[in-house]
Amino acid sequence: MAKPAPLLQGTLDLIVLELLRSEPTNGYDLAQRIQAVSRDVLQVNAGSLYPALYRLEERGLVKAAWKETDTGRRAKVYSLTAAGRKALESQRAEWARFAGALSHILKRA
Amino acid sequence: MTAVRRMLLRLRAVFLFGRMQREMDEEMRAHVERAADRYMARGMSRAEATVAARREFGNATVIASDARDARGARWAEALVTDIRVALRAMRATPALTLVITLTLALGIGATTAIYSIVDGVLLRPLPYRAPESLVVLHDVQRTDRDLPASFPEYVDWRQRTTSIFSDVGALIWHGEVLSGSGDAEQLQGAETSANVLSMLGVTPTLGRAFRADEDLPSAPRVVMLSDDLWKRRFNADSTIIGRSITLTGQPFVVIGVYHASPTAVLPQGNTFAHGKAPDFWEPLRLSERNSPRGVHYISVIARLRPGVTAAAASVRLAAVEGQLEKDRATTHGIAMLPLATELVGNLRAPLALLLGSVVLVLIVACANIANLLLARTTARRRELAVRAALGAGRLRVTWHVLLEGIVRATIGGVCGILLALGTVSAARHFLREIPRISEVTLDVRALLIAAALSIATGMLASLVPALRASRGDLVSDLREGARGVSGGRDRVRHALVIAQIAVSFTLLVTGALLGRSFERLTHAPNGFDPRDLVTASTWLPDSRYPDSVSQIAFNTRLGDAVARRFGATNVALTSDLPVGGGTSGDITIVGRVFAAGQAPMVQKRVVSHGYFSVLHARLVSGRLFAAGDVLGAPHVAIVNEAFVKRWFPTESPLGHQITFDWNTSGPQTIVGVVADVREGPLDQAAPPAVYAPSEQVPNTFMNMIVRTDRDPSGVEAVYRDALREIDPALPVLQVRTMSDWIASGIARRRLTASILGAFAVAALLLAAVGLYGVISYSVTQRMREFGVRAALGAVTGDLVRLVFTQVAGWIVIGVAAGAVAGLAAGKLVSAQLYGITQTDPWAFGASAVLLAIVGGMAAFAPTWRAARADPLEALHAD
Repeated sequence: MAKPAPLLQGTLDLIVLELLRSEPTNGYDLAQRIQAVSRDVLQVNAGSLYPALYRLEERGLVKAAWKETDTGRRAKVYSLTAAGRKALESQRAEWARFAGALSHILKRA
Repeated sequence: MTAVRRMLLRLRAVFLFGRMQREMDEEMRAHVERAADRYMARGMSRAEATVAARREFGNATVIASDARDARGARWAEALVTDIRVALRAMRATPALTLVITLTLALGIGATTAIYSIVDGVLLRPLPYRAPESLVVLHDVQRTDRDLPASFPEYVDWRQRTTSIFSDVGALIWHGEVLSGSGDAEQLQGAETSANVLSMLGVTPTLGRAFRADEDLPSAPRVVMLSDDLWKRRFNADSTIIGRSITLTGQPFVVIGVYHASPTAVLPQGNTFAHGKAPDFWEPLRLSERNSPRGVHYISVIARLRPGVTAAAASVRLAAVEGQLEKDRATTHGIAMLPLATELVGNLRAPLALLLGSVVLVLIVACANIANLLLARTTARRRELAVRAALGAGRLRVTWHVLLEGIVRATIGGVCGILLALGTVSAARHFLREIPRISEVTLDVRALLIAAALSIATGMLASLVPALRASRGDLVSDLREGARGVSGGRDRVRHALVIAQIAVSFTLLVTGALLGRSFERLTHAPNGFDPRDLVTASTWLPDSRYPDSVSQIAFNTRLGDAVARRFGATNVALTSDLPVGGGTSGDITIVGRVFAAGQAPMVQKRVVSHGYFSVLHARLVSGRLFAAGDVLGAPHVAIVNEAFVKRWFPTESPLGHQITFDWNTSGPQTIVGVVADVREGPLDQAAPPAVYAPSEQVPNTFMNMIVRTDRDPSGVEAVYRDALREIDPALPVLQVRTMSDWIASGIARRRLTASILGAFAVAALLLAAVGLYGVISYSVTQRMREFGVRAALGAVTGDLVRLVFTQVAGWIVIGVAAGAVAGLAAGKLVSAQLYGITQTDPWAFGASAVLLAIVGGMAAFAPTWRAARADPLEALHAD
């Protein structure tokens, strides 16, 4: 297994927003899903994830509620707000432009 | 929007700090547990899995801290920490904390409470239209001031003062019994001339007011009801207007309903003393025929014409007086008083003193706080300098000191508010007989001013040295160390303490003078034994008891009925209770000639046979009334010693004849002389009095006096039963103990004495607190000196003497200054004094002794600390 890649600066918010768009989830599952969806390429530790979640919550992009999980544990479940959805759209577009530009540069090399 | 949102979150962070913390902890714990589950599913043991999960999670504390920063919680956290530090600092200096809390509580609480009471009872304007131009007119006589008017006098005054007053009206307090719907109920209301309501500005909320001709004796009976009574008894039924109700057996047509403000007290002495608004208004249907010139019982209210000053009115009244003297051959004059003065008494001088004391106590409280915090912050200069040297920002250091001040102030302020609330409700409970006291509430403006002032002082006093320390005068402060104190500041501190002692001594002396007067007054000889006496009264309507025979028969029957229960030797009747105003009038002495209008003025009493023996009054000569003194037998009278001293100084009055000129036919022979029973106010000399037997002279208003150890309700039940048996339509009026009756007569003095007493105690406590603070500080500063002295051979006694000499010096100077002020203050209240002079040595001496004792107690703990100064420790302390 290859060593997990470090997250690019500023991309964690985008990843969190994108994953929450498809399904509201709690912090632990979110971490696991980032790893799974990226096929183990990206790994996010709790020390980055939770501050990111709280920051997004404070900016009003995600909201949180306590829910009971299947295993009977209480878990704080995060979901996107309307503002979060909008922010995701604009960040996604920005990322697409940035990634396009980047791959263009790299292809030329 | 985001700014507002962020602020809200931040605020939430402050208030929900604990909850947020818990939620974050729980969320992270859940994360670790789930990770551990995963590791266990891979085959690890629980312990291994937990370790691995923790490793994967990272440093929880750091994460939590980062997470909190992300939530804007750092600010809240810092505040909570700072408050904790401040609380710890307060716990570390318990004495200072206690002293500051006490000072703030007293400064804010006592002053606000007392100001609220003074304002509510004395200063707040009466709830009448243009109350400042309302006055009360009294009859003035050679020996008696401020008599109520007689009806003919009222008519004269009204007719002859039209250039002075826009309106002159008559008013008497009057009881009625409402019957017909539900239980019979005793009401208290007023009978007035038709113009009084509009003069006062009382307008009906329903129906109409009195018409001008409705106070004529021939007018039909009408009544206005208070809205309170109307709601309570008639379910606010508006069809009541025009209907007839039964008052004390008579039909009255209800013409209107008015709003009864509970603060709308009316003149006429003690009956209104509970600050109750009248339940009803009835027209005063009088004529000169049913109300002769000799019977003084009417309160006269008038309104000054616009543009007529009180001084101008007095001058013109004097002219009217002169005219009346000629036309009516009378010596009765007219006195005018503002209505407000009539109701609460002339309290201008004591009031100035009281309000002055409010300010003084507040200044002393502020001085105390400034003093203590200055001392504290000065002592902390080194600590603050160290902090600054270690890199704490100027703002941070200042903030810390300020926050400590805020926390202290908040605690003290809350205690102060509680104290104020407690004092006001205690006053309402214990000073019930004071007019309008039931309406007194805490004055929020005064509370805010007092709180703001003392808290601001506290902050300023703690802030100034803090700013200085943070400005970075580090080197000198570090070098100066704990002894960094300048002599100048010490002198200011000491001067403040001495001023405090002086102020509290002045208030103590004034309070003691008034308290002692009050004490003397309550123990002034009445000529009778007021213990175990209960009184009750009723009123006979003229219409049903029109003549002497029926009135006398009723009074005798009632007396006998009650006597069956309490014993004939324990029940008496009198037309007026002693120690009150009473009914006075002219008499003539047969065989003596007095110039026109110079006839003797006496208190007239109609009393039952048992009156003197029930009161335990002493017979001086002759005899008391006996069974033979009844209607039809020769008319007899008893006089008191004041009467004899005045008109029979050299001969015995026994056998002389007088004419009572009051419902009697023919002269009465004086058959006895009794020692003076106080038939006038307590604070005046016993007036001359003439007594007639109630079995011979009729009266429609009789007070019953019962000597019993039962409480008033027991007497009331018997009295009510007796009345019901004789005439169920009659009201039971004013059942109370004789002591209550006496107390209500001196309620005003009691109020002044209580308020000043409360101030004196507050000031004394403040002075003690201040003294303690300053001595305590001074001892702490001088511990090294004491240690050195101890090392050089000073014994405990020397050290104690050292401290106490200083304290005694302050007290002596303070008391001397206070005594000078006390003499001036005594002049202010000299009119309020009874039986003592304003230089009463007892008041001054006791105040000085009390101050010395309290001062000594305040100095005790610090002195004890000084006395145990350990030479070694003192020398080691920096």
